[in-house]
Amino acid sequence: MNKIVTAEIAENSEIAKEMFRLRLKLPGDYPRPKPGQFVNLYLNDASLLLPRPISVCDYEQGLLTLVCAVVGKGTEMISGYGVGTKIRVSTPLGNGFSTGGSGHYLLVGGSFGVVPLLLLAKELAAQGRTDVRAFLGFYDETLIVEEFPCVVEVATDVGSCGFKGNVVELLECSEIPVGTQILACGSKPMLCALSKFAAERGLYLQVSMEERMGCGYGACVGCVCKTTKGNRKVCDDGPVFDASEVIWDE
Amino acid sequence: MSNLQIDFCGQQLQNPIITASGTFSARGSGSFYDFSRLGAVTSKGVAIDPWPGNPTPRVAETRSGMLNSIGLENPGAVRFIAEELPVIKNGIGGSGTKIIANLAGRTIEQYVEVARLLDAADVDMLELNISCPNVKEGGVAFGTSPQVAAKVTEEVRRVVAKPLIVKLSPNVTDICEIAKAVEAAGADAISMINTLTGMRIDVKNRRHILANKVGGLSGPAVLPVAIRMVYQVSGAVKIPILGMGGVMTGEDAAEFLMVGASAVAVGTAALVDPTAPVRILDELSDFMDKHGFADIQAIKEVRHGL
Ligand SMILES: Cc1cc2nc3c(=O)[nH]c(=O)nc-3n(C[C@H](O)[C@H](O)[C@H](O)COP(=O)(O)OP(=O)(O)OC[C@H]3O[C@@H](n4cnc5c(N)ncnc54)[C@H](O)[C@@H]3O)c2cc1C
Ligand SMILES: Cc1cc2nc3c(=O)[nH]c(=O)nc-3n(C[C@H](O)[C@H](O)[C@H](O)COP(=O)(O)O)c2cc1C
Ligand code: FES
Repeated sequence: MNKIVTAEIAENSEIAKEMFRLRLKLPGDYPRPKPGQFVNLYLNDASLLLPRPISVCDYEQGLLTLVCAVVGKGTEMISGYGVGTKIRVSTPLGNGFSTGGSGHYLLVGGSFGVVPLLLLAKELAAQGRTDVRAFLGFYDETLIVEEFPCVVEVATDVGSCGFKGNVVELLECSEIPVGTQILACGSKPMLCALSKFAAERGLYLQVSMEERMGCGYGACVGCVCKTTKGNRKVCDDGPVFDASEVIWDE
Repeated sequence: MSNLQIDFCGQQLQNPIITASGTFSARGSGSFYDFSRLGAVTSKGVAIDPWPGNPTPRVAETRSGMLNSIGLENPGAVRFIAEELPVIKNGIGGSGTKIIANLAGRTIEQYVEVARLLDAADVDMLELNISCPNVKEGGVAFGTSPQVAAKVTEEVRRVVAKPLIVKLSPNVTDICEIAKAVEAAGADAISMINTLTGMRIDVKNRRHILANKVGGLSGPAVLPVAIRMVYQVSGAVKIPILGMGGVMTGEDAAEFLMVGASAVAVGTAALVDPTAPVRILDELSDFMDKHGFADIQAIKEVRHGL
């Protein structure tokens, strides 16, 4: 059964400009999230009705880590919640990335799309895999790159760190072994470009998609993604999709 | 313990709390709560053929409310019956929770065809949505003219044996006129209100928030409008009313019953709190115990003094 639980904020700190790391202390029976799943955060303001979907960044012993960018009223409010504040949060939602296949793993993230890749990298490391690399792209300031337990390559649009350019351009001038599986999260244009890249090279790609949500659990049909199998719900059938099924028209 | 059972269109419901169309899925809602505790569940609008719905973004938040422009995306009646209905049935088990199929169409012929199919399917009641503000070709166009509303009700009535609920739009000048027209055309009940047409602009980016530009407003912001309309319509027709619009608590449900609703549907509240329908049911029961209402009829009697 899914649940809404009350969590206590154990940490809320600005880790980059307008980017906050939130650590939530959860009840003992909270299920372990899978990499790529998200949670619904419910605001402590009854007039803002809808949940804010935020990816799971990390999870350890009842402590859920989220990284939240301030983009509007809700995330602004969340950034101001102090340590000890109680906040309602759902149990993990969505399908998450599927791992377990053979071949090298390449994790590709753009901007705060790097967030769900951290738990993924940690999980793959815990499985004993050493053939994992992460390509992380940012505009200028980087985010949580030091925390990745694998080889990391950084790209920045302005050239302040690592490769100058976007992360797909970085991939284009890198050596990618045949049979590599790519797991990615980022903006739609980035994922679309990446999808072309993977298709041209015959690489299997999973993408985590973002869409405005109503309910976040499959009830309202607000959050659809067009696929070759018809419209699918990002919150329930996704957020992770097989990139070869996504229709990238808009 | 007060008695929450009701008779609605000749059917026995274990309580008056029902999910509102478009805010319930057997899989999603069922992952949060046991919907076999409810009086009934209502499906998302089902049309004769699959509808793709509107482009995204389809939802926008607004103070104490939300706009949606889903555009009645649905897999079509055949797939609804084959795929969604068995999951609903399975969740209901032997509890007696009723199933209401919400029907969408672009033409009278389409309404008639989908009604015929669902009447023969394993559902208990039909709810004719003639009030969706999100579909240009149909929906609301049927619900804003008393003549057209009566016509579609009459045509559908002719082909269905199951109780027929007609869902009204609040986006009209005189809702009582429409209510009387569908009653005369053979509706067994009225459900109201559907959403109020609205719009939001993203001022930073100077564009519409909804890809469809307009959407339907729902949630606690619309409750007073819905209460006023149910009050008016309950004075104008004899058939029962399934009241909805902004119900967030058991007391809100009681308020609808007091102005003349016979049952109450919970929509947007389930987006704000996934377990809202059963929570509201428990709160209504507590409210009745605390205020000495023995049964739902006792709450409804308050209407005579209002
Ligand atoms: C599966 C998924 C995972 C996400 N993971 C993260 C994450 O790890 N870190 C992070 O910072 N952000 C993440 N987001 C985006 C985040 O949900 C939005 O930035 C946030 O909801 C904005 O809320 P607001 O109140 O500040 O904005 P407002 O514009 O005031 O919000 C109004 C409404 O629009 C919705 N909304 C606005 N922007 C977005 C958006 N980009 N995506 C979805 N809904 C939006 C809000 O949820 C709210 O319902 C994720 C989104 C999805 C769908
Ligand atoms: C996301 C969403 C989808 C909806 N879809 C339908 C629908 O398919 N058919 C219908 O008759 N009403 C639909 N409605 C309207 C609701 O059933 C209800 O009439 C309205 O939202 C008012 O109730 P509320 O404030 O409790 O949500 C929808 C409402 C929402 C919020
Ligand atoms: S947000 Fe409601 S179905 Fe995905």
